[in-house]
Amino acid sequence: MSTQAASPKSGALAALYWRSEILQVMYWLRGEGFGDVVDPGLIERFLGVDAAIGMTYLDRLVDEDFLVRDGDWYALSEFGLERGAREFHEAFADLTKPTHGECSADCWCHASVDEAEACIAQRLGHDHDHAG
Amino acid sequence: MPAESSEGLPRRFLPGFLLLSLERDGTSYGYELYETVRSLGLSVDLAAVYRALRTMQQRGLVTSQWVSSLSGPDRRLYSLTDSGRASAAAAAEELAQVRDGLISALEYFEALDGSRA
Repeated sequence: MSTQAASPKSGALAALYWRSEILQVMYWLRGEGFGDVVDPGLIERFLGVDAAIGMTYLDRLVDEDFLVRDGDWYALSEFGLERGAREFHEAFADLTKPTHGECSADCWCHASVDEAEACIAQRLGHDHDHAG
Repeated sequence: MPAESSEGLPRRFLPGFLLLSLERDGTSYGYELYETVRSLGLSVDLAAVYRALRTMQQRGLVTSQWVSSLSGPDRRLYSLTDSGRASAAAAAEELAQVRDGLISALEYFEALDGSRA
């Protein structure tokens, strides 16, 4: 059984994709009683992304205030916790909606990071005709 | 964090075990499913269970809902869809075939041992 949808090829979209995946797994682990800290090795085990690459995404999430870093460990910030909950609810609540990285090549939201963010915001907020 | 063991049943049984566990129990949390499959001898870690549940949810075999807790974080409660129940039946059939195959193989080799005695 395949374990993971493919990451988008675009660097910007890949960053958004992994941000969502990392926040989701951290939120899930927290719900299962394992706290809200991870290290790159754990991200590799859960998401199949190489630990070295995973660490770059974790550090990026620190820069974006979703996570806080303490040595080798990364924890959800308050902002990251709220976003992780939203990402997780979104990903599992309505499977008829595509998530980022699942749009077709001509979707308008692939043009830039800003437009990708806007696409996510619209889809989280509802009636976006995502025919892309 | 629970780690993966090199012993036990092959990991390829994980999806079937998860489906059958959910069919038996109706609903389960992720960690409950992990403990169930481990207790059955499956050598997987929690990460594998997470990935399998996500894949099964993306394929429409499993659905889930949030359950709020006053004493802790929200938790995800999983259950089977109609497609998941059909897949559980197929998994049960596959496991029965594996069992029958192993029994036949064991009987064959035990008969060899007996003929040498």
